[in-house]
Amino acid sequence: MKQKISLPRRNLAGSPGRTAVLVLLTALLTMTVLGGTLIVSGLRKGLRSLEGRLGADVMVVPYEATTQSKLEDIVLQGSTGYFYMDRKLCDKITAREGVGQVSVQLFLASTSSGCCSIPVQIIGFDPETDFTVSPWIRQKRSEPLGAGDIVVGNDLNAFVGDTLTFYGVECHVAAKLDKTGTRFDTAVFTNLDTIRMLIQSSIDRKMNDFQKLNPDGVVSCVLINPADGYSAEEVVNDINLHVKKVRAIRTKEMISGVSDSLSGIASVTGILIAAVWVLVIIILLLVFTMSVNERKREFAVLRVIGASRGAAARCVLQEALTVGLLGGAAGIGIGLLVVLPFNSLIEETLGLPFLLPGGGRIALLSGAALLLAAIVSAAASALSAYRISRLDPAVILRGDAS
Amino acid sequence: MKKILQIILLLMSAALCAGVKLVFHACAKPAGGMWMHCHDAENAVCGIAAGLAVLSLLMLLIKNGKIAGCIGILTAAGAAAAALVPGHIVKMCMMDTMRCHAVMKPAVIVFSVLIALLALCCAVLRFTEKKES
Repeated sequence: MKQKISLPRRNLAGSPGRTAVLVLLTALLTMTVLGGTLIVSGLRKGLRSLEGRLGADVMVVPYEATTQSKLEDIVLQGSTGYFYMDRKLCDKITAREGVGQVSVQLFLASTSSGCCSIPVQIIGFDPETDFTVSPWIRQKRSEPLGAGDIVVGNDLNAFVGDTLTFYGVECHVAAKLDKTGTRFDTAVFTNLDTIRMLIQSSIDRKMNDFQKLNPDGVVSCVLINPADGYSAEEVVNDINLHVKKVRAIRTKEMISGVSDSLSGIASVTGILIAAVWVLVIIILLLVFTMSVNERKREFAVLRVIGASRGAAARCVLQEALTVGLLGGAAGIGIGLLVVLPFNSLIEETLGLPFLLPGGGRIALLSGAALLLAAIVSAAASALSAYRISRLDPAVILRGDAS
Repeated sequence: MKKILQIILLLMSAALCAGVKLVFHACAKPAGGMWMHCHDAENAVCGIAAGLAVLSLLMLLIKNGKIAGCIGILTAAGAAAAALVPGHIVKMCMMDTMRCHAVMKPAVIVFSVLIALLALCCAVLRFTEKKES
């Protein structure tokens, strides 16, 4: 029994070069499958997170904002920027038919706050009417934000109790949000009073593009959920038709670009994984066939000394399974070592919302990848195992076999 | 095998030392500005990696298995320290999307973990070498 178990391992150890190539190939297969799946899962989770975080069905912005082709970058990609419209327009919008929940937001981009930072997007919301940001801020902080209090996104290296200075105004970090994989991870949230204070300070310091601005009389965007019985499309059409100087947009339309990019990446990744699969299976099939052909006499001797047909076939299958498990484990290690630590770089490179799956799902995917590697290796060696089991030792040892 | 692993260890330490300056370096100096905190982390990692390279070379050259094994353990400890430099020992920049967080930190961690594991393997091999003789 002991000999049966150790023979495949001894065979593998006896040909280190061949074993290394086989392990490397299965590692490549596993790494591609796991890495590709993790990236696609991360993008899907990021998109879901973005859909959830946008919160409103309709967004109304000043008309100029949509012509700058920067709006989607600001709303979806985390670029910094700001635009304003008269607050009176908000009242006109609210009065339109079909408008349900309404809340306003004010935007401001910080300058680099001293050393070691880049500008961040500051978003001011009205805690009394807000229905988009407040629900997930409440998960971290139940008390209302006071003057000068801010909530920071997960990608900012500021923690509760820290002080950040924007335009000379000291702000206290009251809470830090969970990772969302979206532009909100690099944003700072505060109430309308604080952001108005910051806007005024930026104007006083001549660091704001809108020098004649009255922070109390403007808003950056109006977020709307349609009233019962009305669709987002009806509300958008009505506002665009009857309220001048503004543009209403369905938030789902904004996400559609991201969704298309995601489909494209998922397709390319799928093709890549399929190509690697086919290539690796063909190579494994060839290597196992060649290796077994070379070792026909070895197996013939095994048969002569009493090994059954099944034992010879099992030996080949066990070799393949060992190779699959070793390569699979190596591939999982390399895949995780690339995807997990470099997830911020992947997010930056793709320019799309990206949120890695949780630990449990990663473990599940790794297990599935390992199983796949073992199955593929075993399947690739199945033909060779069958041929070995049909082998006639007498013919082989006489040297008559081709 | 032992020698090959020690040569790989030496090469990886040298690669970390050069890589942190040339390939996966920290954030660039802003035009007319000052170096950011992450630059200190970059220098610290480079210095530690240079030390690791020297230790790896010593391990390769020293014939006494026990001393070489001890150097291996020291190398592993040094690599663990290098992994902790960005973000833990030395402060980094404000945003996780900045280069020092997105590129330098993960690359240093990956290299350091691999160096530490390799150094431990080499140490075990060198310790057991004496027992065999």
